[in-house]
Amino acid sequence: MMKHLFLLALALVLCASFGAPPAYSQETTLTPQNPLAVDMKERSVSVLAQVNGKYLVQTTRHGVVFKEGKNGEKSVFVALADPETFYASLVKLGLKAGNNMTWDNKEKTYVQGDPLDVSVTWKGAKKVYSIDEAIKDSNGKPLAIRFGGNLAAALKMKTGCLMCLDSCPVGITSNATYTYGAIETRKEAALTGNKDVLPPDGTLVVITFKAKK
Amino acid sequence: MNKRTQDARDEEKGSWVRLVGEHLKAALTGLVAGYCLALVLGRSVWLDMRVNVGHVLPVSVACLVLASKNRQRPVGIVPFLLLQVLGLALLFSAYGLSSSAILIVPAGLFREGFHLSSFSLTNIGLFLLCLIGTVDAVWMYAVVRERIRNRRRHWTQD
Repeated sequence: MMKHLFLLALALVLCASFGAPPAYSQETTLTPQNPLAVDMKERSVSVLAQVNGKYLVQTTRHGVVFKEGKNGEKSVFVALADPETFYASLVKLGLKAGNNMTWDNKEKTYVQGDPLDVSVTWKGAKKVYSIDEAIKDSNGKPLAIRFGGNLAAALKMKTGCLMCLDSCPVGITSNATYTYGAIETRKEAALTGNKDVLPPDGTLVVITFKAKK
Repeated sequence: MNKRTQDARDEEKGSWVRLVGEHLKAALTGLVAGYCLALVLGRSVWLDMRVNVGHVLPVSVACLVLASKNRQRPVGIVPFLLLQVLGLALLFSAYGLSSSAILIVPAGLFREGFHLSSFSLTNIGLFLLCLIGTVDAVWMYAVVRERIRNRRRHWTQD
């Protein structure tokens, strides 16, 4: 019996090791080696990221996080571009950072800075989805993503946060709909990726941050 | 090769396979126990955002393997099955009766805990489902077969 059990477990481990690699988006020039693009004409920054299936079921306060950051496994989208390059790209577009969030005021202050239209698409997607379609808010409120700035804090903390789902003193962009702590501690809202819209875990998507007109 | 040498080799091979089997049973019981604990801890968004709750899994596996080794007593099927029922109850109470809850949540914890970021959650989920399902079936078959054999032996002695 033990022999059978051991052989079965071994066979299962071998089967699982042939996991399929993630599909790459063909609707963009972005690649894992070149994961960020700036479009000066459209005033937008596009970032390549992977869907994290865990947060299509569980609540998170992290929207887009660089894969090598401390919070790289805690977000709906795992970005392949780092916060510093992302920040520099938004500045290059002429966008103004809010830089109004601090550790002391974070729970009572809404993030400021130029507003952004965020959208998501991927190979085989029916259309370009707005961030409000891709992220589900238990209160049904739309996300108000703003260029918070916070570069110094981002470099110091190394969390990798590109987009947080509530106002944040570390994330380069964050959601002005809620103040810090609304999701984690005060339970004012529960945000998850929309599993009815987003593709399966591991799929590469392109997230575009465009200056609001 | 004489028969005695062959028998000794078979016995040695059998004891090695038995040892691996016992460790595997202890490891899987530890995994399921770890899941129960991780599911309770993971309900706190605050905690989930700050620590890797999945690390409970390898720690629990290591604890059970070491404990079964030190106690020189095999892990029983009853705790293994009861922990599975508890794990499913925790899973369904937190995420509802859905296939994504059974596949994605345990797979997410496993991927984080064992740092298998290159594997998709669907593959990990299916692997875990097959592994635990197979072990359940084989283990239950072995227990039933052993009981029937003991009963027959008892009748023969009578």
